[in-house]
Amino acid sequence: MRLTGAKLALAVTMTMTMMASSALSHAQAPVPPALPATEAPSQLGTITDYLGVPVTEIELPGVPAEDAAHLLTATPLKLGEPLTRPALRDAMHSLFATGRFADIRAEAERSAAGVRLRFLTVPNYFIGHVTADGVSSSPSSNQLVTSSRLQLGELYSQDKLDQALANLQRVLEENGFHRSKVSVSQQRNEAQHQIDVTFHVEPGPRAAVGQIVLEGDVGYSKDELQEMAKFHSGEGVTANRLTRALQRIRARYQKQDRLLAQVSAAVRTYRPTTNTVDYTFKVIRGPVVEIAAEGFRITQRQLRKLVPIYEEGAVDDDLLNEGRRNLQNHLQALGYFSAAVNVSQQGAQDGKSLKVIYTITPGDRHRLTAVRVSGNHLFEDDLIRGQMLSQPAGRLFSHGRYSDALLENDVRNLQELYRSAGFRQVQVTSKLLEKYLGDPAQLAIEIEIKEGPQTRVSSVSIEGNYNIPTEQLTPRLSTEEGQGFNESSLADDRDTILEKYFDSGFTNATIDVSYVPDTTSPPETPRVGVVFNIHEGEQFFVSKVFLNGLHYTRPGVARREVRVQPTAPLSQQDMLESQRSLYNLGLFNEVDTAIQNPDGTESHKNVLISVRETKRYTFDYGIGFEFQTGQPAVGTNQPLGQTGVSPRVSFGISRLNIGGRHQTVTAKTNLSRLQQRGLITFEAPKLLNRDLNFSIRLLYDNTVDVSTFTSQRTEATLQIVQILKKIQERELDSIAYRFSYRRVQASNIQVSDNLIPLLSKPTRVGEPNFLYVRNRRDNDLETIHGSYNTVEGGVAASVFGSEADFSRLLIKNSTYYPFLRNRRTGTSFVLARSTSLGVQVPFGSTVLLDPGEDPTTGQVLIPLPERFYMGGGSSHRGFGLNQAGPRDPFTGFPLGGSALFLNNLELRFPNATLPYLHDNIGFTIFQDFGNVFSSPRNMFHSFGQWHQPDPSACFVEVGSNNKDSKCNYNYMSHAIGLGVRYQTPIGPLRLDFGYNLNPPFFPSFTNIVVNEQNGTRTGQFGFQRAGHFNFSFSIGQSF
Amino acid sequence: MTGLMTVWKHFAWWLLASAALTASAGAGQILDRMVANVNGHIVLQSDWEEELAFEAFVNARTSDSFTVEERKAALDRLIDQELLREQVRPSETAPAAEIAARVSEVRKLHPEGATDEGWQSALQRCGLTQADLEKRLGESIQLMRMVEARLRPSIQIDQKAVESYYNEQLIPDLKKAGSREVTLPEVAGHIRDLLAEQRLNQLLHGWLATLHSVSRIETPQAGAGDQTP
Repeated sequence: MRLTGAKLALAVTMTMTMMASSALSHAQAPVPPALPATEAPSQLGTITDYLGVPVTEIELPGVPAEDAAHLLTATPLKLGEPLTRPALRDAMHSLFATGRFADIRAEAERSAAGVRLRFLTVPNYFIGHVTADGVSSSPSSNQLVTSSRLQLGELYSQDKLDQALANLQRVLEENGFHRSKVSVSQQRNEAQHQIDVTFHVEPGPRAAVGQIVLEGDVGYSKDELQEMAKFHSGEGVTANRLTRALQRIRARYQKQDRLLAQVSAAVRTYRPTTNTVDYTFKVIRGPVVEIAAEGFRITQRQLRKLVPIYEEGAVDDDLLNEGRRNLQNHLQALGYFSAAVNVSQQGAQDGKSLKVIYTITPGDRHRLTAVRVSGNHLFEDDLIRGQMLSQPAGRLFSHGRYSDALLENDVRNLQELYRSAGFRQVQVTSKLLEKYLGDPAQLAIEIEIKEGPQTRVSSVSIEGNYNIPTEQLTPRLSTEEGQGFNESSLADDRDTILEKYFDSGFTNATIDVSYVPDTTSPPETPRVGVVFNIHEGEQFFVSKVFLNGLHYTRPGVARREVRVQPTAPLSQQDMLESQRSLYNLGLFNEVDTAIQNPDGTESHKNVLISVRETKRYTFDYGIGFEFQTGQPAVGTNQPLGQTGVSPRVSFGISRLNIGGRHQTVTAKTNLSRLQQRGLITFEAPKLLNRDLNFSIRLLYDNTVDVSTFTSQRTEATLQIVQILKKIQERELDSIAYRFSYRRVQASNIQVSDNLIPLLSKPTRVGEPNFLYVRNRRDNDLETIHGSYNTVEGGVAASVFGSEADFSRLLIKNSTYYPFLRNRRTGTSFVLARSTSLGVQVPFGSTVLLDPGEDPTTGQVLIPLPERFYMGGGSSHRGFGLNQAGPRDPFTGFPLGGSALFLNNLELRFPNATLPYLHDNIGFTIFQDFGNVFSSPRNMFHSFGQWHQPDPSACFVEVGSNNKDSKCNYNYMSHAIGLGVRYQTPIGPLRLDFGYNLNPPFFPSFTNIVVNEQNGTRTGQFGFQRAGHFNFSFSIGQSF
Repeated sequence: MTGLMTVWKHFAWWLLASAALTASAGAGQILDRMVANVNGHIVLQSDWEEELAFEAFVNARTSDSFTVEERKAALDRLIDQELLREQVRPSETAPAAEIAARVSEVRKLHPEGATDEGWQSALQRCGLTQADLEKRLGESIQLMRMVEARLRPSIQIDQKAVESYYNEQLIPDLKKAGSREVTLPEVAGHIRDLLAEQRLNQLLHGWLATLHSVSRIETPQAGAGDQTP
């Protein structure tokens, strides 16, 4: 009967044991050409002659001996053992499964003692370095390489190459290159079994946008839409231009609340005769979407904020439900803890509008006054409250936060918290106290915890670790016998063990963690044994490491950064480290690492590193400004400077990879009203292949950062920075050894006439110096805790070619202490302190003079640009820029000093959450005190001096042009202030307002007249006082 | 033209590969070789030959009675089996009773199977042992179960399809054959099974077609003359 026949036919197909032909298989599988059966010699019988004969030799011709040994070890064939059919077959399967061969056959030959086996193979090739040339942008070379989808290390095949060419052509056409031609050249590397592929692109002319046709209910004319999309006929075709055009059109519809608008380039037609592409834009505007809330008054602005359909530009169930939850949370934050929110949609019949309605049933309003926790011993109240979503009324929620669902969730979370800590019998119950403290509007939550006994770990054992001894694994574990059972610790331990295995080449290792209750332990002190059961899997090793893509870079420079070593276990971590180190060289803009033949079963894998060298020339430019009080005003007689903005432009050019080494030459200029600077630097970051950063710096600098003079500096510096301590590429301790040779000159000097000849003389300074840095900050841009110390010292002396003899020491110590940490947000207050102490000690003929003091013949002064200055946003915020310290008795301009003391104290508040600014705004209050002194002795005597000594001495003229003025600046000037910080990825934008509590008085002549004959100046005596208020604006914390 | 070029490139590739093998070949006898590469899994000539011997035995035929097309179909089935195995590795072994029943069915096809000596002799003649036969039949059963488990749940045969088959196919066939007419309730169950199995076949074909389209299947072209067993 037919039915039986059909069943049988099915069975035939399913089991494939009968000879019913499969039309499908014939159609799909490529098969050899059909040959007459008589031409097909049977091979099965051939082996019969050799079965049972001992194997005397096994060869893999064409395969390097070392590789052949590895490959044959994995087969069941053994020398001296008799040949069997299964062994030969398994050997061939095993060899082929390594992925190294495209074809294989086994050959046998009789030898005197047995049979000589030979496996003849055709090697597979794998994808190596892939590049594309002939294009610059849209599409870039990198885009084309990515679009080829040729993955480093994967098996090469003609199919993949054909597909890659098709992909490239598609991307080129999307970017208007319809007349492009792509050819490919392949370089076969026999030793690396690799084929490097280069696509040569002849892009031809880029097509232009042709006609644009609109389809659908657009609502705009073609011209309007083109204008809106910024997509015009005649413009070059690029994929980005089209994408942006579509985005602009969608954005316009979304602005009109048409959130369901669909815009697409439905048809693109290329016109070869004109080399243009015609586009048909298909637009479905969709309805105007309106949101409404019923049952509770919520403003449209709030609704738009709470319901994310406008933000996402779409209407779907997920977003509507998210809006529902947000509304519910909003109501709960207002005290409507039992509020219910439902959402529905009403579409107009003509489809032109859609109304989303949130129906709100607010219920009664309450205030959650307290969350009381009892019965907890292990965890503190704060920690438990921090785990809860239910929150009492406070700064964030004026009515608290509560709902039945939230509380249930809290109870579950707390139970989980205790269970993960080993309290497996914990009971957490909650109770809502209504009419709390007799007030019907107030609620409280009572959380009662019955912790029960803590389960302890009775034993920790590791099983299945055949290749890594237990002694190497155990010290890494945090779980120990006798300690409280903690599931999260066990998860960490499992990851730790796995990490060790992955680093040791066991890439397929897995671990099961099981807990075995200790039945001998009493119920009141339960114990559990922990077993880490390891399934190691196969261990993989590195065979060879191939580094490709180097054109200019010397191979040794790159190889030094490679952590992966031949014969070592294959470690993903080492590969990542190698990649990171190569990137850190700054010589490569792309570093790919891959395992060659990743799907093959061979135990020794080649590791491929393919790099793409970055452009050797880079240019940069920048525009900025400085904004603060006390800015020097060139050509004016304003000793306090002026408040203002100083624009700044910069331009730089760098040449990387000098001589194929990790060396760079950079030329950089800065131009602003206050500074003109040219700098050429040669840098070799890995001198002698050690952590020694060598640099030579040539500088020309013309700066007016002190109002008293214009500093001209020509300097050459040799520097070696030695990294003393480094953790994960973060430099913790370093010391810089430098020798600077410079010529400094002060011009436009605003000082008394008697000092001008001496201070305006160009001075050579030759100075060996050092800078030690000890950085223990957790985050350099936004430090929460840690410390930062620097010590800088140097000696300028005639033996080093210096015309002024003096030594210099500047010590800075900064510390950061977090306190009042908010466990939930992870933020805290930070008390930051920084203390700086600097001294300059002249010797030989170089002297220190007090303001107004006359120099004697032969005396040399420390040049003005070499002195210490203070004041401004990065030092003492109670002064304008470099306005602190001694002043000239005639002009009143700051003279700088030979000693410096500064203490900054800052209380940094956690960032506040504000409308529009989110949690990016932070505030600080600060107190700065210190000053610059004419000599170290004056500084040490001034530590107890809180006010300017005898300011009245500054009000009277003493001697000619006040030369003998007794006005004294030896005191500690104090300032308090407020700062605002706005977080950015490059550090906080900082605005500081400082109020100087005791700014100095100082004499200052006005209406100055210059005697034409002798050049001396006279004027009208007066006095001034430095301003109380100062502000500064810059990027980065002050310290 | 482009298509021709692609074909030529493929051919040139295999020509090169074959030339490389031929160049490296020594004076020895070839024992075994690759006949297909299915996503990196090799099918050997010995696998193909054993499959033919097995099929010949379970169908009570001799190996040399197979046509070239039948031989190639056997290789195609080996490729299909490999593709299916890649999808789902059978987790349970086939029940011993079911294997024994299949062995018994095959034994009945062989007149020599009447005696143990004759049966062993027949097996030996095809290069098989009792264990080989049981293993291969067990694997077939496993594969069939796996396919059933994967595809069967998605098959639904409604009453309308059963009635349609009864009226449009079965009744006309019975009339043509002059057989007795049967009522629908009598054969409804059988028709449902038949339609389900037809659907299963369709699904299996579709699945295999998909697997073929996304797989890398290579059968070396060169030396095809001495490749077909």
